Amino acid sequence: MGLGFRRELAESLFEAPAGSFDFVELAPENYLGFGGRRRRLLRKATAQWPVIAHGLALSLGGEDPFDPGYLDSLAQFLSDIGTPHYSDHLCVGSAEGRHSHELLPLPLTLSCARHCAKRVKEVTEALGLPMAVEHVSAYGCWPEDEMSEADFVTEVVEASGCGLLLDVNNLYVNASNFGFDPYQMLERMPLEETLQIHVAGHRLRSDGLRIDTHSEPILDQVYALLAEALKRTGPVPILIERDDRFPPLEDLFLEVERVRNIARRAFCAG
Amino acid sequence: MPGESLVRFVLDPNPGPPPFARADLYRVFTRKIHLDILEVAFPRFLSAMGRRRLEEMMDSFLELKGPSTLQYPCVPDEFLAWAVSSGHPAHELLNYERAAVRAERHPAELDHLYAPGQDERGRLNPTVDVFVTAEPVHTIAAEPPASPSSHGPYVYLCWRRPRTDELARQRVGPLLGRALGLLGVEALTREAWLHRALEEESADPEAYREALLDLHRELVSREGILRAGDPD
Repeated sequence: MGLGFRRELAESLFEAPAGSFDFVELAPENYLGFGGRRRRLLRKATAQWPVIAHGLALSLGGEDPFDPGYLDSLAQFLSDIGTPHYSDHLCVGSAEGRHSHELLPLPLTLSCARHCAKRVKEVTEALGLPMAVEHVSAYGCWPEDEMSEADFVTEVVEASGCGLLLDVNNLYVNASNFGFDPYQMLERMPLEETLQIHVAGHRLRSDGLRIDTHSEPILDQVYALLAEALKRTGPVPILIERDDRFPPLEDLFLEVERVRNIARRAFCAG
Repeated sequence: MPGESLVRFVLDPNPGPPPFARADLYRVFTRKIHLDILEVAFPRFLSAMGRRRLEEMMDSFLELKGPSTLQYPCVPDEFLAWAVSSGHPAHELLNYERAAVRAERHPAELDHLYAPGQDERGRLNPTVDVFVTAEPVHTIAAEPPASPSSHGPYVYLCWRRPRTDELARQRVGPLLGRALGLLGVEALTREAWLHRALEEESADPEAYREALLDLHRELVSREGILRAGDPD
């Protein structure tokens, strides 16, 4: 069970009782090439816990060529922190050298899935460690869509040989926003290839749209979906994402305990 | 790939019809995430000029150039570079604010470095960020002056101190700024530095020597000058 290594929480996390959580996750983009306080926090974190890296900016569905210098620096960074795998999102973030710094949804087409798979392979080779892809939350869908999100993800995973980062909250948000059954979607996901799971809370707007904010407590429905997913994924690292409106650390630890109990029950039952 | 049309839609000034329903939400999110980081990066600008001015600048930045960095924390650096290249009147204030972050994040390893003793050679702290402005930006609390003042240029230094990561700032005149430049390229004892600096300037030697000594003392005490050694 892990927590996001947010700078807002960092000092409190270092003071937390041992065993409160098992690992931290961080975005390399927030540390790569920086000295000073960020580097000091990073070193302290890697000395205290296992660290898993989760990227935000590779734009796996985009067309801009990867910067070899950036990938080299990233590979060195990942080696330095000892992450067991690296993940990024199945989305587009940049075009013609301009970055939106948003995780923008892709058209769910076979050609797009194959394009992503090719790019995932390229990154995996450059980084020299296992890679996982995360499906993103979405608030609209492309008219070009020709397959379900689960089939799209499966195509990328199978064609690239990468792992899955299953985000149970994203799955729930999309099911609600687009009116499908999250359990049916879960059933079609390539769960056997899961390297890691994310769980989080989200915001429900007055018009019924769910926005993936990572700023709220985790919903009961998301916990239930997690329990179902764990029956097929087996034991994998599970991370609680909290990026805004930080509660007292004790409240986050209650969520950690709840997820731990769900995992215990799932693996005992399995 | 049609996915890239969504990137253009969220960044372009006149994006045309959205590629799908609710795509405009992403345009809003993109602006919010960029405004958030710029507000944190430039609090003095925000307080002096207001949120609306910052938002207008951000819109222009996104639409005319857009971030090319993959690293979200580096977006304010590109915003500043764009403000400088486009000749925005507030670019000196933005630079003043960003200097602290450049010094704070500078990758140099400092923890093994200490201030020099009396006769030891010293050099500028490798994180020192030196920049020159026409305006006294440290005093700006409202609109930037319309025309350059006659009292500039102003030389600012900002650096990160070893072990504590504390930031320090110093403002000097152009003469002293040039003299400090000698310690940026070569490690020198205080006496050697004084000798060189006095050789290069024809100002009143006694007063200048006093000013140089005061500055050296100040910078040594605040670890802006560090003992010679490999700073990397």
